[in-house]
Amino acid sequence: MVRREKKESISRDISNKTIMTILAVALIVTVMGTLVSVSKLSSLGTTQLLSGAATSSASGTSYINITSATSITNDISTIDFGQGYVNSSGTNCSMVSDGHVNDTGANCMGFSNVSSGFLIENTGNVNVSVNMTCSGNCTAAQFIGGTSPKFKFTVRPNSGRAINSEMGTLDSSASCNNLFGVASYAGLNNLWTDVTTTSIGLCGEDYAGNYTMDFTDSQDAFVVDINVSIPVDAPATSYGGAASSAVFTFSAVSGG
Amino acid sequence: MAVQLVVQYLPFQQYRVVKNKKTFFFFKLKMKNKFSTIILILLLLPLVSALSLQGNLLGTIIYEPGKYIENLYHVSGTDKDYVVELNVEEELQEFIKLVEEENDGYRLEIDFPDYYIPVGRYSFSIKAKEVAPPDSAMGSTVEVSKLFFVEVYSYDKEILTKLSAENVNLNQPVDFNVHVESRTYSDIENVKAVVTIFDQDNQSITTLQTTQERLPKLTSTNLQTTFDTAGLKAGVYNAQAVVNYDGKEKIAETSFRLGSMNLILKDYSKELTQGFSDFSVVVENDWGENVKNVYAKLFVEGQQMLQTPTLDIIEPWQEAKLQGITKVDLPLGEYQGMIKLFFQDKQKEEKIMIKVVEAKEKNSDLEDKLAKEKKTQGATVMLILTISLVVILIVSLGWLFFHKGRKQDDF
Repeated sequence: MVRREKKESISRDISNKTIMTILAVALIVTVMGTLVSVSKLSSLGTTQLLSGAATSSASGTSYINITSATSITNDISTIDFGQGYVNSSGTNCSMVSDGHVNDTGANCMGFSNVSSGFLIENTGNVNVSVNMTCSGNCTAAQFIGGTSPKFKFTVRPNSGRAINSEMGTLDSSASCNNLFGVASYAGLNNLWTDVTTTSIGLCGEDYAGNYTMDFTDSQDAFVVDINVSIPVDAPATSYGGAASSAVFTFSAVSGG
Repeated sequence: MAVQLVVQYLPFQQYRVVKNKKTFFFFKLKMKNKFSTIILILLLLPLVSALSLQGNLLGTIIYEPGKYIENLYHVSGTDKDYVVELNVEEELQEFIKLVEEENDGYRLEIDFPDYYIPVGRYSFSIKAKEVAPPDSAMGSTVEVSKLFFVEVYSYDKEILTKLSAENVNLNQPVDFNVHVESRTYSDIENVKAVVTIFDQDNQSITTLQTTQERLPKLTSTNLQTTFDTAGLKAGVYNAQAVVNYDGKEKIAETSFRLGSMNLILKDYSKELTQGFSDFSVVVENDWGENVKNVYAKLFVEGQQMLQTPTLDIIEPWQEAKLQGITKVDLPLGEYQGMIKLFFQDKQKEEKIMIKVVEAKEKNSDLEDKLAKEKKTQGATVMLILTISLVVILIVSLGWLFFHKGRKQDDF
């Protein structure tokens, strides 16, 4: 009798161990198999994994009213070359907000290297036109002074300029159909133009109903870069003094 | 008053935060200090300037005496001070105003008087603009505007007109619609149209009279007539409507198609690359109904190179692309070929010229594509096997537990 109980107890022990072993194997196989499958699918860079759809038989009436949002964002709203001076052995210090410094000689002393211009992005849901106005000291003579100073700007699509600060994703296509400036300023892109107080159409023409700055995320941004050339005889200004102040206003217009 | 912050990078991990160009405070950042780290992250974020003006789209506003329009606008997206302006041309100034509401809301009220104003196109705009900081070194602000146009029509009788006709199958009638829109504050007593149909050689086939109607001011109407196409061959036809309104005339034109059960070859790949090559054919359904079971075969020098997968349906008048991959072992050069189009129970042959060119990077793309397809298949098989194994194991374990339980019960 005692022998029989012992035998059954052993049989029960073996059976439990077998079950545990099978369970462990099952878990290992499942985890490994899933990992292999997922890694294979992931390596394909596909998003076509598992999907499902839900259905509903309820009925009703819904209304939707999408308002028109005229929105503009300047993702880089200041350009600050910092403080410095022109090396007295040189004639001028040239600095561009696209990272080009000292292209005309290593004469810029102490200034900061700036690699991003004003990044203008259409963040609304309608196409717009964009104008730029400068207020304050907007000529080279006022802003910098000295002999033959330069204070210029140019416009380039961010798809090419590739400043990675857009609210949306970085543009993959040129904004404004790669046509910057209106008739009188045609061909602004990559052309250095003097900064003035006159309002300049950068993209599209509002009164002509020509709103070419697309709101599509892949082509909704452009960059206004600034180019300054400070002559060696430019007068020193107190930091933040009115003599070195220029404020650019970017104005987006859409149809009402 | 909003604060404009200018962050300047200075040596020795120091940052200066300037409020309106006057030094506001100055501190040293130490990376070990958590608070400083948070501040550093905040300071390194680019300074963003944004503004948004939202409201329902009004479009061009047609002036009508006594008309009243109200629309709400909302300004958002900025933490700076801003102002909202209404700029109106002198002629409209006393009829348009902007009223400030709660929570950055603005109500536009347009209240045209009971009399007519001079004919023309007027404009006004609503502008929201950030208040410029007084003295930043090279800063910027943003503005957003909505520009509106008000059209004031004349008393002279004037219309806008558009002629339209749908494509139909052979021997089916074509309905012509002449849309007439009044652009005057005067009623038009009689408006009617004469529609002339031209064939492919620009020869007049027939002339049709539309219905005639009275057109009250600033309204629109549709004048209709029907053309019987019996006996005409398939193809594209032109139509011209001369619209007569109280003695004045305007012309509108359109074209329409008489379709037959046919597929039109619109385009095809003119080149094949040696090795694996893509080939595609663009066809157009020339029939006013669905064409089913469409596929194409490519023959080069009498040899079948490819049969595309079958498209179940091409919808009326629509284009579709049939494509596939073929292996090209032919030497470089130009060959005579043929595309056979199969649709419904019909087939059609089109002679073509095709050029075999050297394989470039294109082939590696194709190989990548094939490799990717194989990988996808492998992964799918692996997934199915795993799921099957799990199911088998669960069933086995269930079976084991069930029998074990039964044995214990028996005991």
